[in-house]
Amino acid sequence: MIRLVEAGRGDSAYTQSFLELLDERHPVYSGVGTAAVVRMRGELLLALGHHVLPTAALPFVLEELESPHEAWLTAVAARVLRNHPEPSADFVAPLLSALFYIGQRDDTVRLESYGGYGSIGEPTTAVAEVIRTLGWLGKAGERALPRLHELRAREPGLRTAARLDETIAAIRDGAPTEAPECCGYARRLVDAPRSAPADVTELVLQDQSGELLTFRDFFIGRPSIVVFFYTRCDNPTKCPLTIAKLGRLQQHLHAAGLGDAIRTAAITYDPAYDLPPRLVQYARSWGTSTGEHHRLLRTVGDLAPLGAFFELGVNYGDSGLVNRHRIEAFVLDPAGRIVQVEARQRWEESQLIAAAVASMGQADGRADG
Amino acid sequence: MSIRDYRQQLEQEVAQELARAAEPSGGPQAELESAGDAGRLLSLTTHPEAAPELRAAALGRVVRQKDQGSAHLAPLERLVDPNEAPAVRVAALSLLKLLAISSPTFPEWRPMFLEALRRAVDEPALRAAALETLTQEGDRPTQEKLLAGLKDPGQALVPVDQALRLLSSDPHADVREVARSIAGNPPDEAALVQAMKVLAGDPGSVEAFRSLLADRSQSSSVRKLAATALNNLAPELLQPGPEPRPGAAADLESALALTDESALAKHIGALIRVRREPAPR
Repeated sequence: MIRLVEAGRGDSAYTQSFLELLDERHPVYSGVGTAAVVRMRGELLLALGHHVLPTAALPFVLEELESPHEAWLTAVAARVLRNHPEPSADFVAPLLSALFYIGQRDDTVRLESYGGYGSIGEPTTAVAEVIRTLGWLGKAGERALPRLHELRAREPGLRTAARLDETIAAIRDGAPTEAPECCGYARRLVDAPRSAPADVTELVLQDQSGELLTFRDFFIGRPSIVVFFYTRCDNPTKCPLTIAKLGRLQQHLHAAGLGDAIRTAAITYDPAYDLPPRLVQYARSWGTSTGEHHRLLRTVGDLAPLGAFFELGVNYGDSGLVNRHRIEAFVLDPAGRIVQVEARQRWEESQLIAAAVASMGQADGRADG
Repeated sequence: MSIRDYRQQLEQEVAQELARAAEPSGGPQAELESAGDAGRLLSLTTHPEAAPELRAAALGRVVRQKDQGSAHLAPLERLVDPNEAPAVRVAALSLLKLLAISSPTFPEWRPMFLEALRRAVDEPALRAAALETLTQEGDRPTQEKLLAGLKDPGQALVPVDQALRLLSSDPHADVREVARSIAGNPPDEAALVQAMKVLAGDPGSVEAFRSLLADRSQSSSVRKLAATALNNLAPELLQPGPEPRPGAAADLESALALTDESALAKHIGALIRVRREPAPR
């Protein structure tokens, strides 16, 4: 893969190949360690954004900013975003998210060194790159000003203060922009509702109490909202936040009197490790309630059939531990068919609930053949 | 002696001790006292004729006097200097570890701190402390170096058991495969024990733990650890064994072996007794 990246750096003929390699399901990530995955993805983003960052690469770049965990990847994402032809106000939220989260895990990286930790190139940090990119937004970054002023008022160190001053001035003094809103890529209705095949409908699952049930038992008959997670996820902006948001979504459902009409499920990517006691504890830790209509689930056997049905964006290292996954949420209609997918960006509780409510018009609770 | 007399004696002893502490003593303490203001203290930390112990003590004073936002600067400079005496760099590292918790500006100087720690790994006197802090911070380059050392002893920075321990706190350090390999052919018992701890939550290691539990040539500690892991991973495989008959030992060696078997049986019994009830929905 490295040779491909080197050969295609900045060459638009390689764009499609690089985008395919950024799909978590690509076999190139199978059996590979987490650190290697991070390096590979960083190099792919650098190659894509070497000259002009194509719009098709934006989901991957913004994902790294919105849910940052590795300083190298965050720095890369912030850097290549500056090569996108158009600044957009839609970039503000992910950049501010990066500033908040990676600020606690900042590190020195060299973007010219493979993987960021060599000796080639000028040192920079993830925070420095994010602040610089906020300044690059110019007037499109106006929504960031209150937060930037707040950070500046906290009297950070001299270097950060100087960068913030420069960025605030660049935004304030930037030329007005009419750049279109860009990034509604994460939410998509599926082209046609996707039905679960027989090896999925009869799949045996186990919930956090240890009860065994099939996919059909839980997901057919009522609409449901499904998220994925695993308890060994070390990125607080992914799985812990997903489960916490699921808890909030449940509260909205109950407040609207829909707590029994619409089911929620969180399914683990790591069924061999996430046994029921761990599922219980995780739910408690992150504020999700459980009950007849709201469960944390694991597959008793192989996750593969479920993974294929949901087209899960996950891969595993050689020890079987998840080495990379995206944020993803699904809405299933009462027939158990996937009708909406939210991937890579943080989903809104209200959007998922609205889609589930809309699907309640599906009177037929039977799965299509 | 009456209580009143004892109390008087104690008060006199305390007063004498306080007076002694207030007197300037010889050595570094006296020199620090005479250094006076912060500027002179700071120059003392780098004075080429000052003993390392004095420079280290001065560094501590400087940190205590500085405001929280800039207290890290002096120790950071000492830590990154490869020509500085190890004693001073060790003191600097200790101070920085405390400041990493207390300093409100730590997020800003964290990158410099990590860079300094990575360089400090090259200094034998600093290596263990630097690796400890780096792995606590989840530093991937350090994790990869430790892994490389486990796979190739020629690249090892620390003994096997230490490397495993350092890597064990992060499941994404990808140490499990190496730990499995080490558990199958450990260089020593310490390495085996650490490998077992790494694998304690690994469903793929159930058979390995079964073998270790059944292997009477293993120490009691190893077999108890195996039992504990099995209780977590595959409790249905953990069955109470028969208690050894008292008086069955013919000599000291077999008596000791029986003692170990008895202790192991008790340990397994305790694990089974406290096994969790099914969780409520």
